[in-house]
Amino acid sequence: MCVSQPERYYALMTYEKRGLLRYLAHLDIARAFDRAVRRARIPVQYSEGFAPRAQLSFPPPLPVGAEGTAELCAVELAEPVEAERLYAALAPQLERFRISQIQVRRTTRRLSWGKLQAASYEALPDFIDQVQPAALAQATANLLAEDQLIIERQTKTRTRSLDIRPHIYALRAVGDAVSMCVGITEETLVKPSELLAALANLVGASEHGWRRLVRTGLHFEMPPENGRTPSSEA
Amino acid sequence: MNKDDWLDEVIGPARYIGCEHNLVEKDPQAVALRFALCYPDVYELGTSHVGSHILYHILNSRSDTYCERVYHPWSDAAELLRRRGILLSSLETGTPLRNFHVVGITLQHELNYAGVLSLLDLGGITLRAAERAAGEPLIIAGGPCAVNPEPMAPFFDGLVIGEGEAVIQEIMNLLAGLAPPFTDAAHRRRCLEQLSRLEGVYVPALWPVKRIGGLIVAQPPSPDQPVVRRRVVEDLDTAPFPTRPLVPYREAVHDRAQLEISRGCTRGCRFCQAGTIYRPTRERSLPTLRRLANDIIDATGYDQISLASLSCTDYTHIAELLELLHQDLSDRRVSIGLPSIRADAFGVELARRVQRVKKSGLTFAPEAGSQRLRDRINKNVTEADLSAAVAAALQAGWHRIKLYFMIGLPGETDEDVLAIAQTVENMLDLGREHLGKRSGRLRLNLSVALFIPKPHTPFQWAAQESLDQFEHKRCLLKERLDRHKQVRLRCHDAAGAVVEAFLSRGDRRAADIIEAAFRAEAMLDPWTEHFDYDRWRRAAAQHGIDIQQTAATPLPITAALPWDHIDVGVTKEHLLSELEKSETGITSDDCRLDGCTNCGVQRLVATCYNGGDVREPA
Repeated sequence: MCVSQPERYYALMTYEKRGLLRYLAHLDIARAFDRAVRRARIPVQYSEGFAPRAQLSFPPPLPVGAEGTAELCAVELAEPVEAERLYAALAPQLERFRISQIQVRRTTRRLSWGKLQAASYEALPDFIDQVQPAALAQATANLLAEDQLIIERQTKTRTRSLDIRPHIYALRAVGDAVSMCVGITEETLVKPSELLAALANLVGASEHGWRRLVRTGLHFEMPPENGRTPSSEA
Repeated sequence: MNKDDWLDEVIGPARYIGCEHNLVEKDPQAVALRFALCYPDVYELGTSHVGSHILYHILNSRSDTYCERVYHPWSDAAELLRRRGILLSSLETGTPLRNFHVVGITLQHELNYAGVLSLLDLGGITLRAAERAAGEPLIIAGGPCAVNPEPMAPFFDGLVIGEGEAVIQEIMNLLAGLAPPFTDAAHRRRCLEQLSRLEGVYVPALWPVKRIGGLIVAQPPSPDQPVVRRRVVEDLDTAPFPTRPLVPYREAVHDRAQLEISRGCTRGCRFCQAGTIYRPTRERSLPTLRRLANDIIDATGYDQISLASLSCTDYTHIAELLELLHQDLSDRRVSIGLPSIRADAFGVELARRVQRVKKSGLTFAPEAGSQRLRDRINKNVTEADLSAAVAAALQAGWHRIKLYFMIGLPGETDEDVLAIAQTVENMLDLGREHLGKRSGRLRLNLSVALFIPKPHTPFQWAAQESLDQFEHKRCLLKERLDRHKQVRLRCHDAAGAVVEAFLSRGDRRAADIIEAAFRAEAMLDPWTEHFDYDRWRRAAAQHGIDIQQTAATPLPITAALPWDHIDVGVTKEHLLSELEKSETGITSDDCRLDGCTNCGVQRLVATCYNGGDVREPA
């Protein structure tokens, strides 16, 4: 006989962070979801201690000002609940976040965002007025043609050099905008601003960030090869 | 304002987006009256203010009114809006402030006065009421600072004296009849005249001023209107209280549900303005509070509910209330906050009941160190009460205690200041007694503020101590307490207290100084990083006034005071008798325990608390 782990249940919600809500910081969103879950009165797991919090978890957050069209949030349930019932209870409480989907996952392990492999973004560069679309397209092609892309990343304590080229899975210019799919695990993380800075450098622009940034997908499956967008099947 | 244009460039843009849960949405075209409810400080403070939630709820309950909110932006956004000529606008519909019919501004704190002007200016509104064009909004103020309306009088068309709920419907009904926006000066004037006939509404333009002694004093417009009498909600239990308060995204200063359990306090501390201007004590009933608490939690999802009151532990049925709320809310993992407890064993026992797990720290406010001085200020807390409170706290597992004291109280000597240190040392002794080897874990955090004389208190005539004297006393205390590693001494910004004292007792001349400070870019003075004492000193000096000297000069008890025409209920005779008792060290009892003290408030209400449900003395 084998001893089985206790089963855990998670509700995986897909929501939007759009319009004015793009100005929310990650903690603002976490608080809003905690309160929504409480208002919805669904049976969720709470943390222990003096100020119990609903067991909510989020993938790596978007920066303040960036939008997301298919963001994810997982909440651990205290008991199995049908997805339809969860949706009926939660969606009205998170009206402005426009929940599009809720899946209920059954697992014997803790839900881990470590399985999340890649993220897709659409970015409007802030140097777009300084460059022709054709030049932008050329720059993306040039960048992909390189074997490596060394960038400097600052953490709180130090600056380090690293090669982000292996974790750029797709990159192309679409008119004024740049569409990209990049790594999001601890080892493969690429920040859209890093890619845009590299492009700005290639086209010789003085600005180097985004005017508008939309995360369009979070992917659990590794893309099969560089240059192609991975499956968004969770 | 087109929000997208500038939100990417400011700190904490979530302050400016609105969209909160429970925000009221209406069609602005479909209402007759558009009301901008303003808080002259930043979003995090404004969204924490219970009174604003109450008025937002009442105003939006009217089908003819849409009430929207406007807060003062943080300094970076304020500068950006000014630089680009973008008008400050409401969070609900992005309507510029100047396009509203009525602008209501709460005066919670004298240090927000420059912020009020900054807010009006950012909203495109002419600062002085006398210079305002006919079509501009009607600017009305309210809140505790309105009990001395004179320093801000020139900027407002009207000031509500007392509790907004008691009079706001009358104001709105009147305005609905007058159909703003005002078409011409006569229309606007007619509105002001009608407003002034409402009890509790002060229309400064109709009160001529006169110099009497060294002070500018307002004169009644007619003999049949000698004073403006404060408005009071008679029955708090049936008074509206929002069950669907809006829930900010950005963390508010009080990021929790707030339930006002009672209003008013009759303990009679002689320095305390809230202790006079919110009389009589009124309470909401247990069934009402229980219903409200459950409804608020249902509608907000907050994980904490804080019981708002001037003195929570004085609520008649506090133990029962805590038990009921605990029954209803603990399964929902909602904790209960008791922000103000009395420094005695009963208070600690109550705190113990709500804080079942986390021992975050307790706060007591002995205010003065010696019994002699506590008797003079009528802070009826004894050394024995304090010791019992600390002992009970230690036994219950609290190791961090915060203590509030004041320096510069009338009649204070160096000995009284050193008595603060003695009180603290006695507490350390208690720590050794109760914690034994673990006594090092006891932490005492002292917060020391400079006394501020306030209108409508027995100490309204008193001098404020000079900054030099304050510094001398602070050093005295610091020298004595420095040797104790467990004690931390924090002193409030005394210069801010000087400006506050000056403004709180100011007459209409103060308005010029406030405007000068605003022109010199004062806007968020309650924030230490934005407060600049020199700016205020210079602004006053331009008008020949020395702020510190004015604050440090006692007012003659025979003088006509700038706020004498505001009848808050408590009479000048009562204040004087309290002052005399203070000078001889005689204390006064709480009228709820010991019978009517004849303070005067009974003239304002049909039933004073004294005639009602009185808690037996313990």
